[in-house]
Amino acid sequence: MAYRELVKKNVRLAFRLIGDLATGVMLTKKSKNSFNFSTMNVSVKESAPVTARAVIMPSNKASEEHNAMVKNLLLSYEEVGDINAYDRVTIDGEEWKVGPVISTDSFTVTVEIYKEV
Amino acid sequence: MGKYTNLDSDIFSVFASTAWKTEKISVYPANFVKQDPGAEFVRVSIIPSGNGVNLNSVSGVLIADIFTLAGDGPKKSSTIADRLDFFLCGKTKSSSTGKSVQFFSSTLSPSGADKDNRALYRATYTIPFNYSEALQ
Repeated sequence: MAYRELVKKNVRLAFRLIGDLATGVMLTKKSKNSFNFSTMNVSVKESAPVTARAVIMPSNKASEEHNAMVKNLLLSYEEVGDINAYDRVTIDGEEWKVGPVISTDSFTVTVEIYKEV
Repeated sequence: MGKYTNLDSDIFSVFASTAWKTEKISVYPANFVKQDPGAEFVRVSIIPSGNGVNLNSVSGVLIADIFTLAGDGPKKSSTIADRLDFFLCGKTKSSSTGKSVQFFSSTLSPSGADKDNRALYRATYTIPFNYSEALQ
């Protein structure tokens, strides 16, 4: 078996074996966006939401000037594909915004997500 | 609308014009992340940070960050800056409602490789303006 397929298979297996350590999330990704200089409006086209399992890693709450919660999410790249800044993630019915820091090795994706609390 | 919204609207109307669109230079405002901006684009920020002649007026600078391919020399960013000058430098945009934006002389400073994408080169075009609106 090729190494890439082997790693993918083990990522799939890992996300299955961790059971309830992974949480079901729904990712809504922008497929296209534009800015209209006449109306000053932004238009966003979103692709169909993707349901995935995510590991929520340590969270921080920054409260210097306002209360912002920051979480790190680990996702399977095979499930979610490419993620861009300011895409949306829904966890337990609450909407979070993907931040500007996204790291991927094409097997897993780690993103920072933000929400005012 | 208030003076800041009017100012944005007046300056952005330059980039909404048919004449600008024929330049085929992609422009985006600050705080807008384009999904696929391409390798050459301009990001415009309006900074109304100075006093105006009355309570409805303000002065400031328009900053246009010009992104071009890194390693390809300064010609492209200078060409885009020249086109911005053509539309802005020394120009006054007036409306029938007594609002006007007057642009002065511009400067262009190379900022080096972009921090988010090292394959892009950033040059910063800056032009001061005065925005005035009659008091009601």
